[in-house]
Amino acid sequence: MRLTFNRRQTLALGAGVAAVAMFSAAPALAKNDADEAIKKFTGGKTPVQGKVKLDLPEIAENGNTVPMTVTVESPMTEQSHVTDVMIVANENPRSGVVTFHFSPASGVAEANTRIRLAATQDVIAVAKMNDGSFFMASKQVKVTIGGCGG
Amino acid sequence: MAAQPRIKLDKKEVKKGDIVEVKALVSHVMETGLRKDNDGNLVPRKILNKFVCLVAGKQVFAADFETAVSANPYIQFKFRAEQSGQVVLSWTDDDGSTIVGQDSITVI
Repeated sequence: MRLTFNRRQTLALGAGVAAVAMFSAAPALAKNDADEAIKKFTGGKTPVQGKVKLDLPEIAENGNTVPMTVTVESPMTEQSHVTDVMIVANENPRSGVVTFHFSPASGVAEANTRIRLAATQDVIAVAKMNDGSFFMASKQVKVTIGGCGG
Repeated sequence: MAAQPRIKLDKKEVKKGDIVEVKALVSHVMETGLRKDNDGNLVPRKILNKFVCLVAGKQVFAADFETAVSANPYIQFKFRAEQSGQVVLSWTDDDGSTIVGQDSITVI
């Protein structure tokens, strides 16, 4: 049997599809569980912008190895230091990238590694201080060739 | 198993309280578990998931790696030199094996 639609039916069908697309797009802003991962890390607190510096290239030609440096402003003394920094990427198949653990013995809260990015996306760094406060920074990276074997 | 990690400290003899920078590179496939081989079978996940650096027996830095860390993971970090001793870097694999590399610093 061959399905045929007249003009009016086609229009109605199109509107229906558009409505479905809008509804399904609304809750799925991030492709993975990046938001939940941050909530879990902060225990529900909203991190404040600032103190964290995330250094990534504007454009990554190869998403398989993207150099990333994260620095957190802190005196790194027993009284005031950074304990953990979590990095997440919101369009990778899995949100987690890396978590760094610092202590006053670190001297400076700075670390560098190379990461995989599947597509153009935001990379988010959330720092946890020893007093329980949270700071964050994010940066968008445009990826030409995605990593993760895609 | 794999080749020895390459570790470089920016200085070997330091004053107490100086900041030492460590760069380390280890060869590892860091298989994500999402990739398929030529026959369409998933390649099982195999990554180094934990990194720890001890200086004179005290932890100065650690990291939890996820699948989004590149193959042959490179890591660079700093620590404050308090006393002379071994700088021991160790990576733990998903299968429980470890890769260990070391160097030493002298506080003068």
